[in-house]
Amino acid sequence: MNNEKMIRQIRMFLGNFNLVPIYLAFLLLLALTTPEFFNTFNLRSTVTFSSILGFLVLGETIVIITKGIDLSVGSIASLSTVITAALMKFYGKELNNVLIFALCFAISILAGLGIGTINGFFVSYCKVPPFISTLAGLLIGSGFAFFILRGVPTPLAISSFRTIARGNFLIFPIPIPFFSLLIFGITFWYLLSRTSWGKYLYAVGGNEYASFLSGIDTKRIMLSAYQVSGVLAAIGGVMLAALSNAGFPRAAEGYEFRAITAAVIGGVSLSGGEGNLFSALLGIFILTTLGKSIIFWQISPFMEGIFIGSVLLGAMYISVKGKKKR
Amino acid sequence: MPLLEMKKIQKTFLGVVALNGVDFDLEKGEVHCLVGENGAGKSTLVKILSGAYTDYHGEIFLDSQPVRIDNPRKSRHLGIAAIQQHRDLVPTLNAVENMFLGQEMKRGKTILFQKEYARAKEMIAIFGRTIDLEIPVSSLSVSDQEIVAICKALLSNCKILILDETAAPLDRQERVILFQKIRELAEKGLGIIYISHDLEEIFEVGDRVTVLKDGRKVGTREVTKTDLEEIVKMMIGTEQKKPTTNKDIQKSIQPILRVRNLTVEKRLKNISFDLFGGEILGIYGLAGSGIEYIGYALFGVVPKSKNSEIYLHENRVRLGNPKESLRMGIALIPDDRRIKGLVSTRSVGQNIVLPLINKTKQRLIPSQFVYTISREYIEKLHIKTPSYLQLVEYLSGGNQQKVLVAKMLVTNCNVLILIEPTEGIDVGTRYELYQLFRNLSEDTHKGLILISTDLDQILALSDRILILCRDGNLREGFPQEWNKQEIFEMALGANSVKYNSNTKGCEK
Repeated sequence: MNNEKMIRQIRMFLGNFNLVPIYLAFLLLLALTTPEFFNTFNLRSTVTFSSILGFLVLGETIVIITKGIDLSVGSIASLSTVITAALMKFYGKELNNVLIFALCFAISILAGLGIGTINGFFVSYCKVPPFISTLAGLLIGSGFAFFILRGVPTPLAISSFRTIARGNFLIFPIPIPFFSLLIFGITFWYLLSRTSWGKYLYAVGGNEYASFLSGIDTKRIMLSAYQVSGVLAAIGGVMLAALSNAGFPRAAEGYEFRAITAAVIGGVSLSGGEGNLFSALLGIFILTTLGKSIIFWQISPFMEGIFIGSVLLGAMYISVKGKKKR
Repeated sequence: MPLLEMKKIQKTFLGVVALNGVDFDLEKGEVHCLVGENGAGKSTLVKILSGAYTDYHGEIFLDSQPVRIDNPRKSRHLGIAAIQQHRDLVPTLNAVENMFLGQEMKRGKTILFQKEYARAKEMIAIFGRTIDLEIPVSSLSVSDQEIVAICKALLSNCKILILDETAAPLDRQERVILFQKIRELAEKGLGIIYISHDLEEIFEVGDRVTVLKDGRKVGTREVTKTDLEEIVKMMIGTEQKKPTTNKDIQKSIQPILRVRNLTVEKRLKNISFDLFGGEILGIYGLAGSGIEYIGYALFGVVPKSKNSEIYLHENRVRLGNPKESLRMGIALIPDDRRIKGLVSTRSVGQNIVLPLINKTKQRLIPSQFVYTISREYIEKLHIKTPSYLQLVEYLSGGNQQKVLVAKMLVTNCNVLILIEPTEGIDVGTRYELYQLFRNLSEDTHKGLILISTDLDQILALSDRILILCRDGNLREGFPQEWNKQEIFEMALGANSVKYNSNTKGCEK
């Protein structure tokens, strides 16, 4: 009985159970074919990059759970890299570093919140389909990103900012982005599975009208999902700037599709109401690992899309088939 | 002093009056039934109370205090809980999450799942049930879902409980428990509004009954001082009609459809029967017995096992998908017309000609074509619609069903399968539909298969009856042979019942 309970809790935590063994099997395959993959540098860069994308995946998953989709996360992240670079360029000499760092995060988060609010407002209060609303969000975000630095890739003026992406957490050899993702992941896991806000997200995604009749302010819940997604994408964007040491309006172009792909591979249902944060995050780690391993297998990196596309189709097929059996 | 008073309630939808100055009141501790034909305004009245419709005119008093119900939250806050006609559950959440949705047990911000589970188990145990609380409710049976919905409403500590067609998906035994529960709640001082199409339920559970017709109140009666006949008269204005039957039915000599060993995995096993042209064959079974799968399988919607044999005019056919079935002349009118039968956002005309589009082999559908055909059927079936361009979603349930019948008639089918054809349709329209089905089988010599869990309907319409027994066997007979009680017990599978010697016994 107790055992059963524990298994249930583990399953609730990990969601799509079978992703863990699949990922482990994949790593084993990598270890056997290209042991070079497991050098410290490569592992660090894989983990760091996955973790940064993980912020976009977190937000995207929350939106998809409400039966929506957020196409703007990539452009919000790009905008954040531009805001970061611009702030350092224009105020880097006048203000001290810590203040600048704080400002970079604060203003990027505000921008992400703004675009997320626009997205969510039109989706929930004006009944604009999420695809269209967030497509507009994508265009607006990227418009600002191009406008601020006139489309010029700009290196960060303060080089110590790189520590945010490349440094370790305290003395442990854990990259800061991974550690922060862990914190955010656990926080949002808790919010989604243990609080009424999280439950309402699932409820709205599963049946909006029933949730409305249950006395839930469905519009506000939906709005909040897009706002959270915007904020998380902005945080990811600032870290991306730190990683690439530059701000560029195309820095995270197309990353929204990576986020969506990761969520879907992680078993988040596009028809809403179902999905687990951790398997979605595992999804992005799988995607990034796959992308990196292609290079080690001496396959042209330009073929990455072919692999990821096939994996996506396979994952969808398995999940649809599994559902039918249930 | 009444618990609830509604005065001169008015509600219009796009200029169509749904409620026209309706007064309604509810006392503490009473079960007040609300009846009326489809489109009479029962659900509209209830939806105003539950906060789903907010743009109403009129006054509502709760405990003599005037209130305005702006949204569902307000309604809940005022102590009104409703179990709506179309199950108000979130399919992806499990039973416990659904029951406590919007009323979670919390400490601070954290939901106390353990406590919720324990409470949910207690609630469900009242109905003598064990429901899997871990799986999404979409995987539960319809009656289990209904139990969850009922528990959800009971949990809300409400003063007013509204049950809209709540008993419909439940079987006899569960209904008895539900009615018992309703009476208990009324005794505790709750006011209960009970809506049902099954008029007999009023006399089992109600104290007073209010009849609505065409958005107006016809009257309110004490249940003990009225009878079914009066209620029906109030509802439809005229007396209940039975479909007129041509006594010497012109049945075809050879069966047009022969089904042998029809097996659908987990649902049906070795079902065999014949269908003759010009007859209505009623197939009866309890809710959950899987009778609807006979229809689905014949229409090619669910896969059949390999040993299933189906012969149409002596030719063996496969019927692997709806397209093939339609080409062979088998048409299906499914239950749940909104989801499975009609494209509700398209017009009446477009819905009717939909099955023809394939056959015309034309890339463009001339509007003249849609007009001629749909006009013909709108007249023939008396579909009440302003025009053939009207969107189907704005029609009443009965008229939607007629559109669905028209849609299947244009296919020129020989075999028409009807699954629960009058679900959610009022008594008046119901008899109109009965007459329509009767005429169809007699005039056009089609074979009709009526699959229904409504025994009265089966008895009123069928020339021949098949009963799906509990053990999965079919029993065949004529409606004159048995009385209601016997058929019901056969379906229930009570072994102690002695059957008449002239019954044909369970076919293998």
